[in-house]
Amino acid sequence: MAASICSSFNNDMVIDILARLPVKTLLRFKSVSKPLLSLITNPKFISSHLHQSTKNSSLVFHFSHNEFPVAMLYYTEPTTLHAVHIPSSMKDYSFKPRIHIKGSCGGLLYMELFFGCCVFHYGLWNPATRQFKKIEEPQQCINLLSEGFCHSSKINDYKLVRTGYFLYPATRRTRYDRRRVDSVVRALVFSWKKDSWRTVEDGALLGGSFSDPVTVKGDLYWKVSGERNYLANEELVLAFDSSNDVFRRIELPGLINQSNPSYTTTITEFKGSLGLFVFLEYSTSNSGFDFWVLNESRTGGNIRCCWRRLLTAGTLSKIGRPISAWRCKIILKNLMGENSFFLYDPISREIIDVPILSDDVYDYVETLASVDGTK
Amino acid sequence: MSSSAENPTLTAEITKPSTEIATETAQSAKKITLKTSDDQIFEVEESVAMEFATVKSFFEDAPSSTDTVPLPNVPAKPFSQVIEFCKEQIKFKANPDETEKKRSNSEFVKEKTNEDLVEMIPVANYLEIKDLLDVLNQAVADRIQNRSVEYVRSFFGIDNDFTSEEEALLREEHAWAFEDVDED
Repeated sequence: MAASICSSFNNDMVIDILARLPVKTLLRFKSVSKPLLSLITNPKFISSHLHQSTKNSSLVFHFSHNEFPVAMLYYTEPTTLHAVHIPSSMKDYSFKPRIHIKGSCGGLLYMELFFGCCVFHYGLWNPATRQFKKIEEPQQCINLLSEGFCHSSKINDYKLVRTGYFLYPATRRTRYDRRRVDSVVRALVFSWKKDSWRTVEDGALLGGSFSDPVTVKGDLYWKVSGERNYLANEELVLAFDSSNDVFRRIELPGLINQSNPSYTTTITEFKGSLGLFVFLEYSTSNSGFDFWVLNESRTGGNIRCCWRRLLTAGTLSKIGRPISAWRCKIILKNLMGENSFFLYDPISREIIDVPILSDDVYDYVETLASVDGTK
Repeated sequence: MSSSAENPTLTAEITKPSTEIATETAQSAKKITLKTSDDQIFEVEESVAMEFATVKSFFEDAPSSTDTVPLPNVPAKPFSQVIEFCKEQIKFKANPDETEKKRSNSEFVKEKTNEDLVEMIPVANYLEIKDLLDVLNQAVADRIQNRSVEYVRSFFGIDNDFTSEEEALLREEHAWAFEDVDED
């Protein structure tokens, strides 16, 4: 990149301007000149573009019906849905796949594709570059407890994590026998850069019932309700450090576990920290919710955790279940209508309806990153 | 400025009764002389000149200097527009209002031609005016976002060094990215 890109500006100025552009524009500008092409495909530029693009995050939804299986909602116009192009490489059978998004991080979507009744595979999708790539399944069979997809900007890698009990063949003849299930929980971690899976053993891993994962600054978090062998009925958070494949446990704020068991909790990302909604699950009158934020400070190898109650939202004019935080707004699932959402602004107390019927919603940012990390 | 630096204790005592008003008028009265690359002389209020990180550090190294500050690489035309921007910015320093600041910034770039922006960016970069650089770079990004490859070449003064075969291949690879582009 030593060569000067243009006569008017030095390269740093050009980089600063280009990092602000959408992916579609940059793909077009690849054909401006050779120095510009080499800049746009440079991994360092791709990272700074992703960093810049997190300022313009949008939401991605997927639907059960087939017409527009995936749609985006941009922060700048939160009332209009945009259909997302489905790449032809996704349709390698004669019929359309049913798409199920399972994770969104660093601009890539981790997804499951169903073809007909029992043919399915997993893949990574970059909606901005319209690329799709299948992920090869690991050799090791696993009784799945949880799954998560994350992006570590520190080591510039995307990771797919599965935890559960490994299954082993009972005899040489049968491949796997459900009776020979391991008694400890292990993890399988897929690296985008290496395009391969590895086994991770970690004392912090545990069995139980897992929430959907949340990613915070590239790390994964699940809320776990412990099962018999582990902390019966107690809830805690399991975290995965994506830069070194290490798991850790985090306790919930003390009073929640002791207090009335009818309280339900949901974890979310909130401005670079882990957030926690606490609300009454079965209340018919809408009693609002509490919102807690986790402060994790690292000193040497130790991580100190401290929960702080950030907000108590009183009665809302609409009944909803808090799903996640999006920028300064809270996304709630409307409990009166079917599968629809609304946004709540805790400061202005304003409510914005999101006019859609969707099964799931994910935070999304654009990236130039390839779906193939080995290239 | 030079006398107060020599005996700060004494100055402080003398000005005590009406400190704030006295220093404010003293500061706003103070002007700094700057010379552009095309030999034009600008007399700029100190508070405005201190927005230029490059000029500020010049005075931090030599606080008592009364010399004219040379600004090589800074032509007069974009420089006067930069001063215009910084004068506006100072108002928001005293009275922060993010919405009003955003409106004022977008008003500022809206009136500027592409040429103005292209000339101002290196000046803002040389003088290290972070806020202005951010506003200008975003304005350029907004202006080229929906534009053609040819428009961008002429905007930045970039020569096409691809053979027609190479270019055709790249265009074919991302044909969809060439749809819905604004007319030049």
